[in-house]
Amino acid sequence: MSLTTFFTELSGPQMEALFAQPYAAVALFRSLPPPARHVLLRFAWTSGEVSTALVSSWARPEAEGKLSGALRQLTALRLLSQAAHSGGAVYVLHPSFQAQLRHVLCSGLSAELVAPAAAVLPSAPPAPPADDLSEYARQQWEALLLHVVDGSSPPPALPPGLQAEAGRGVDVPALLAGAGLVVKCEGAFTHTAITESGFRFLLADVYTQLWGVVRQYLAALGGAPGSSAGPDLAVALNFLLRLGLQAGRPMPLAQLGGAERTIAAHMAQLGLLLPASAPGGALWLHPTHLAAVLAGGGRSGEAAAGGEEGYVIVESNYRVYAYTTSPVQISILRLFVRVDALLPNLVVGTITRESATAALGAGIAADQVVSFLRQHAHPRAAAKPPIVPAVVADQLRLWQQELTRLGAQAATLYSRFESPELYERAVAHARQLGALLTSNPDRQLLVVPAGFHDAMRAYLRDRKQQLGLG
Amino acid sequence: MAESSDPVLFTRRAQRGTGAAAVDGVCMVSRSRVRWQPNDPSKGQPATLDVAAITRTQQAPGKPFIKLDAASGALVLGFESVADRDEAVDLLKQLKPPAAAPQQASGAASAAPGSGGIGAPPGVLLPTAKQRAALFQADPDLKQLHQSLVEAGILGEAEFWGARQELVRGGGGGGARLRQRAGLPSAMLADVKPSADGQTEKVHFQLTPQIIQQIFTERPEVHRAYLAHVPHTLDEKAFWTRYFKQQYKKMARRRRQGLPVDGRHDDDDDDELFLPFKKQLQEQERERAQAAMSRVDPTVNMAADAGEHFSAAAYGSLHDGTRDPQAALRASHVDSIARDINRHAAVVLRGAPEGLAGLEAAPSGADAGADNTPQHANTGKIAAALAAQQKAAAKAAAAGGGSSGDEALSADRMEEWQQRAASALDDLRLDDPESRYLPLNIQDPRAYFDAAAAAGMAGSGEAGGGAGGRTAAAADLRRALAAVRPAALPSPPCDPQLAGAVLLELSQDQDASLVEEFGPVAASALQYPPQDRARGLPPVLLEHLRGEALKTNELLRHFWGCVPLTSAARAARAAKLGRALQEQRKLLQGHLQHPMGEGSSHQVHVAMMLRPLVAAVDAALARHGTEQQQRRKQAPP
Amino acid sequence: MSTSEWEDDSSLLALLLDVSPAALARLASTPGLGLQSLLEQLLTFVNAFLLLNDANRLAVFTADAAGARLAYCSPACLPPGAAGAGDAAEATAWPPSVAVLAGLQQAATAAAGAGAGAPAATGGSCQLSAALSRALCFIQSQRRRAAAAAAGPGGGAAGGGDGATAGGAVDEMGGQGSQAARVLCLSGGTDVPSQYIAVMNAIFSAQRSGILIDACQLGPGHSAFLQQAAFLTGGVYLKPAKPQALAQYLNSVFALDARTRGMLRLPGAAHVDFRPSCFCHKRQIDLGFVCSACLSIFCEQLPACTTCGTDFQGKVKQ
Repeated sequence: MSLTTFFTELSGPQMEALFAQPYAAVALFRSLPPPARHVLLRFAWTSGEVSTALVSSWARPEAEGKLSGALRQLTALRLLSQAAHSGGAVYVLHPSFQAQLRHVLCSGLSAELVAPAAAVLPSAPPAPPADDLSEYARQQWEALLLHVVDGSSPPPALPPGLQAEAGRGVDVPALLAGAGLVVKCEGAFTHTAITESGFRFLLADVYTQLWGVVRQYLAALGGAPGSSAGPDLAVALNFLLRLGLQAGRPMPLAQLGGAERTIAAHMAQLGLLLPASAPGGALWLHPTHLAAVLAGGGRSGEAAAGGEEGYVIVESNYRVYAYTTSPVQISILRLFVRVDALLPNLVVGTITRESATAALGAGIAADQVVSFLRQHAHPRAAAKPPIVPAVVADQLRLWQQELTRLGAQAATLYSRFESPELYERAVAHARQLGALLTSNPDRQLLVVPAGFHDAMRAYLRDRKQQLGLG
Repeated sequence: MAESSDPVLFTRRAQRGTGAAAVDGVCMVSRSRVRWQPNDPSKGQPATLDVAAITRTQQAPGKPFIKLDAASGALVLGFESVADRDEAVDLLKQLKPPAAAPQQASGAASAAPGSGGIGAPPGVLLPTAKQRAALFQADPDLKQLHQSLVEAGILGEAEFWGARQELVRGGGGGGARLRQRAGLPSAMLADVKPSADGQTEKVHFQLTPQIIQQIFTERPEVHRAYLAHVPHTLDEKAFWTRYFKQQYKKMARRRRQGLPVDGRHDDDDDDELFLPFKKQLQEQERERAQAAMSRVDPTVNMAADAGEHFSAAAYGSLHDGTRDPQAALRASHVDSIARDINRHAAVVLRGAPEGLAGLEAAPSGADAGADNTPQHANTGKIAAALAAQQKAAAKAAAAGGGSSGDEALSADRMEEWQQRAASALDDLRLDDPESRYLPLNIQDPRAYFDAAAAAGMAGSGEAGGGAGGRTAAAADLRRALAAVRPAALPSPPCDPQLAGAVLLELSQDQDASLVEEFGPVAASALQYPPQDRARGLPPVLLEHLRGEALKTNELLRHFWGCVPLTSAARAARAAKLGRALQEQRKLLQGHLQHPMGEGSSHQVHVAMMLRPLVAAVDAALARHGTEQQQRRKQAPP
Repeated sequence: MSTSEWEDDSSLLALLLDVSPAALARLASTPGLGLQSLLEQLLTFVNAFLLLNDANRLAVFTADAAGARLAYCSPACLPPGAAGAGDAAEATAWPPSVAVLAGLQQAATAAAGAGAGAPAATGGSCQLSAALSRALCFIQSQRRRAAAAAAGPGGGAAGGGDGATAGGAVDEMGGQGSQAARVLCLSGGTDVPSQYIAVMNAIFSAQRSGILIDACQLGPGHSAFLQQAAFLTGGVYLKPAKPQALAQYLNSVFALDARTRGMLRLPGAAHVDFRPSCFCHKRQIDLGFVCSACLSIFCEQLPACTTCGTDFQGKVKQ
């Protein structure tokens, strides 16, 4: 889940509404892969129409796939559309997007929004220390993650002082359930259980996690994406992205509009904003690094994750040492590590066949595990690659393959052909269809997937008639 | 007519005699003789002169006549042009031994038309018919070139092959090969292992002339000692005994894991027989290094690390109290082994000295122990031959060094160097001699450095309008900076149409001239990657173009071989080649404009292929023009 | 993961702006451009570059006849603790063009002040060598700091290693860990042949440390130095045919980071002028003499190399 996929699902009018402000445009721009960004940049100062032949000539021969991939993505996002213009095919840049892009390049993000506000308002209170900000963000977000892992732990609570805006705050359990991360099990006593996508969620990077939640939040706010939620969604999204793009710049709660206040309170609950009282009593909201991650595209998501101290060391003997006290981190590790010892600041565990296959069976991919270990590597370990010993990474993949070594597939077996010639032709035909699973000329056997049975049957009937076999 | 061993280098139409009695004929010059043959055998007798026999060459200034005096009588020839005459004179000068060189050609010749073969430098080896056939078969391009250049009369046979001497010499089978030089065995001297009979205490060394030779080249001090002592103060056997005793000791010590217990240097214990010579050699080596140093621009002295070696290897480490003195010794020990190996490698790479290859006769047993099978004649010969060779080499080196003639550093040379150095370190340069000694004012270092930088820059730029222009420009900049509103830059900052045009321009290969010439077709043609561009062209055309390209390159190579035009012969050759190049250029230009599908992308590709060639031809012609002008200026006709 | 494929497309850009009087006069007289428009277009490029990736870092140098000065650098490039936290917050504000312009103004005023103090200097073209060296030093210091920061948090004791290991770490970082860096020269002047050696040395050190040098030549004619710089370091040399649309050139070509250049085609080096300046008289030469030992270039035949002392004995290769 990411910003781009979210945008792909939006309707035309929703897009228009979003592009009324620059934030969505910037956030979207930044979350695109580099070739796409540069294509957009090349479009920015033109009239917005560039011939398709010209655009496709931009790629180096060896990287044509990358450019065409980027163009496909841009088209899917409807930022570019193909049109015919004066006899040739042209790409047309989304006009509102182009206008916003130009605006950002010339006047920055916030010419109307912040500059006057800064003039009117009393100067912002001193920002809380960076440690406090990230500590708060971490605390709130970990509470959410912990709730995913263990339904009995309390979800992140609404910070005090914001009840007026948000009432009881976000219903986190419902949010998570809506996102399909947990399911409610009705049984002797109702509890929540983590789902496969929940497992994947835990191992994903912060950016993906955040967007998974925020998307569900927006969907809950304005109906499912794709429906015409209209301006509300646009306001909300633009507001969220603005938080990220203005990282380090606090905003006074009193200055926000009604809808924005509610959203701000909710985001404070999720850890994106830290509420702090200024000396005058006014409540100011300070964006945390999570807000920056939200708007920064995948790249800065990684950066933000890297900003947190890594804590995992993996040895080539499958030992895992994790310098952490966080229950979330421990329970995430428990997904695929057999914990041998819990020390005050250290978890010692082993990746065993049992622990790994349990995780793989739960729907987690080996590559996800490896990339999790790599992402959260202790700085000492990260300093000397390979961060995750090759033997461990390979073994995880092998265990995964082991699980998928045997697969069941419905197939049809043909036997007792009337003549060898018919058999030969049938085999040839099956091969032509790409449907030949196996054949045994000695015993005149032929196996094709069940899906091809109809085609084969029709063919065999025709053949038989032709060969006069009736 | 000329035997293949004595090819004709020069052929020109020439009359014998002067005035009305002159007889038309052809003058041919080969390496050893000058021949003249009448066109009509009834009118005159052919004449032949040995080049070596010519005592004097006289030419009339401004007239194409030459008079060759010889003991057998004089031969007076009248060429068609002064240029032809000069060429003949040049050639004769080259062929004759320098002592008897004909007097300087007077009157510079301007380039004049000539025809037929062109004289080639002597010593050109022409391939035999068989060789040539083999060469042509191996390389069809060569054959094609030969056809289009030599058979068409643009280049002479000798000229053509002159540029390919290594082919003629080395390849083709049956040509005179360069004799391969005898190599040296790469076994180290350490491999001269002593053999012990196990009963007596004696150790035997086996010596062969080869080994002796190797010892002499690898250890010059031994060589010198041998030359100084052997027949007179020591006999051969005693000499080698001492040598091997010393070697044996050394080897034994090295085997003891290289720790000289007595703390002596590895090299210290050389026999006093060799020691003086060793010192002498070291002295020479040092002198040579110093001579090299003295040639170095002292401001850019990269040879200065010679001194560092001393401090690092011996003094520095020894005097450093914190270090292990044994370690230094060990290091020097390793050093001495390394030096031996290096020396050996150098000798092996240099190969056996000429003239000594024949001496590797049956191994002669000179030994160090007691056995006595003296075999001295060869050893003495080797030593003498080596010495003679080294002396010759030294003489050659001295002659070369003498010509450079900078034994001591002259004052103006030093000054020049200093100037260069000053301009090399541009950022540090101070033109103003006063400010060079500006004391460093610690209180305000910024002012000092700023002033220095400003002074250093003065004069290096080409007048930016003086101080006034400078301040005006700076004021302009500040004004412009003040006028920009950074939070509301004009949107868009440039004309969208123009921006679109720029995109188009950027995605083409930036070949403005092509685009100009071919218009939009060029753009589409250039979209192909370079390796695909020849794809659509007919193979016949490609083959043809390739041939033309080879031909052009060959002509260019010969042309640049004549530059600079220092002699009349060169000038004439260059003029001739220049004409051929002009022809070639016309031909290429024709291809460029040849309408094979007007304005097609093929046309663009052909143009792209041929353009560098045309440019190269143009460069050569331009060079030729300027050279000619210079010659004319130097010697007005 | 799709993100890992392009996770590191951020880069450090050092922008060299030629503000020597000759260049300024030249730029001011370019039809349809003018100084103000040039600056405006440049600032949009600055915005675009920083928009591309929020980890992008920028440093702007102005170069004139007296040397180069740092006009602006991204707050993240400042040494930690050098500027107040409030400062940093202000500087991250969009658009960055505000801060860059302020920096340029400061640099111009400072240059004017220094110029008034200096004796009548008639400097024409800018000190390209000094500016390049300055930019390279800046990049190198950033890399070192990044390397130290990477080694630091794990163990402070290990971080204080000697210079040799730090250097090795930096080289290693150049390959993977640290940000890709490049230099963009916006030049308006002509080459100063006497700077040849200094410029080439700067180019080679850039090449060795994997720093691209891009060049946008707005001045008259082509700059052989910048062509060689771009060629040797794998950068792009461009002389805009339509300088009025400078912003488009900048966005289309010079905004591309090193990785993206592997994907998108850039205008190639059509004709690079490879002529060197000789070491002895600093003349630009077509044909010269090269020392067979150290490859020094001379315009005349010398008896011995003045750089390494090799004796030619009258035999030199042309």
